[in-house]
Amino acid sequence: MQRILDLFFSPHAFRDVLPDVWLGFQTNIHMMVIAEILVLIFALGIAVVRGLPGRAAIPLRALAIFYVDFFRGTPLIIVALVIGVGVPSADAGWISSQSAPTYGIASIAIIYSAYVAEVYRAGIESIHASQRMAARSLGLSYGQTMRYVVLPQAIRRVIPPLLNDFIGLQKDTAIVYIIGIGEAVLAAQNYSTAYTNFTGYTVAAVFFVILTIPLARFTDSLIRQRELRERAAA
Amino acid sequence: MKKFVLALFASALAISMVATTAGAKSHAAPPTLKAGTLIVGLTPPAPGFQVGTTKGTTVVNPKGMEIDLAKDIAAKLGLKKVEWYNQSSFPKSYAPGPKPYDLYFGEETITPERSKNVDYSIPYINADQGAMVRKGLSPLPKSIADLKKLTLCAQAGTTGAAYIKAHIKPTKAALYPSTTSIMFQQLISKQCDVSIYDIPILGSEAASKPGKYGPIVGRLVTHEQYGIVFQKGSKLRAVVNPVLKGLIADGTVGKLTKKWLTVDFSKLPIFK
Repeated sequence: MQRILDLFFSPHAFRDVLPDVWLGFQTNIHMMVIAEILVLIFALGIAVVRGLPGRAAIPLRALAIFYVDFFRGTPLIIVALVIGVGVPSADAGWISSQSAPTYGIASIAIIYSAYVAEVYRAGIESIHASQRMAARSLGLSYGQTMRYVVLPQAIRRVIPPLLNDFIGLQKDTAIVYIIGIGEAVLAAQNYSTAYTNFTGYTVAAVFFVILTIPLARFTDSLIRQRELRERAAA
Repeated sequence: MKKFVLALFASALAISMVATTAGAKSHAAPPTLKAGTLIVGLTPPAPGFQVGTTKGTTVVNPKGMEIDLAKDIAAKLGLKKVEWYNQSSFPKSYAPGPKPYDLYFGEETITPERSKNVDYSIPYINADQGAMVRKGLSPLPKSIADLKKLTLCAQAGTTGAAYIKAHIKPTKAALYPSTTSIMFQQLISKQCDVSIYDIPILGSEAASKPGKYGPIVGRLVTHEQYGIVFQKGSKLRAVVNPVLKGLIADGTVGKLTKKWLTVDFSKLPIFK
């Protein structure tokens, strides 16, 4: 028992490794914030394209469907290796000379855009068709209908599942350590291999949990607010 | 620094212990897991040291300096068969607990921390850290102060990574990729300017891909020594140590090093 405590919860190692893991965790925060902003924008674009009406939009719709199918099914670690190690090796100008965290952010954004696009799509499709028809009959264009009628309601509706995906995204910033980004897990790994002590992983885990708990409670409160509002309306 | 002095002391102690046990050598069969067979743990690939096709927990037809050394040791011990075990996780090789093999080769540096969990043979190679630059880097770094300003890379969890953090303290974020193959790829793709890694491995990598890398510009003295890894308290260690000592004394290990690892590391300038 003492051995387990020493290996995973040693106070001495905790003091030793805390500054390193914290420094690394700042990289995680940096990556997750930028990736989340990119995902919000990019995924909405994919979802809207996927919902475009008419025969002329078939190629665009197909492209959006292909993107979602492909990247939702691909493990993040593969994308991280291809983007983080493969792209710089391609010798293709500026795209090959970005920093490692940039490739990490790109990998995460590519994968999570596919997930979040589906969340958006669910929200868009949950808005009853009669609302669109009503908007169109009032003279709003398709774009205006989306912008002023459908999306404001749809996005509000999908915020809880969206935040849920973001919790996943935040945790997955740990995966890109594989390409050598000095983030929290890597700091913990460096410590664990040097001293055969795994307290660093515990510290990193606590950081991630501390970050996700407020987000989880915020999601809860949003769901509760919506429930109250809808009950009042009914 | 204290750590390295400790490591030196530990290896000196190991050598003296060998000297005392060698006298009491018995002629019984060596205490291996499987009678007449030496099961050798490996973590391929490490060009020059051990390269082979892994198939589950076995390695098919491995080649390299450590492979030849393991075969020589088995022969000297009178063991007719050598089996190769694929220990896919390097950190597992120095984790506490029983091992599925008799001994393990993995260019493993002897450290006091690791020695708490496993036992090491006397060292079979002295390997300092080397600094290998990417192709086209100019001007070439000549000191640790020069290294500070460059993007460095080292495999996560290695002595090189620890050295960067403790001694070089670079101003740009260093990369700590999870495998050597990613590290070398980052050196080729210029994501990384200088790779800090064990000199023999840098040398064999450069030799295996001519023209892909810049030169090995210097040596960072860390007093690292590679040892064969045994389960803590292994009885085989006392038998292998005198054999290894003999192979070092008669020049076999030196010949194997020259054959498989082309670099003459004593000629590299020492970075201060």
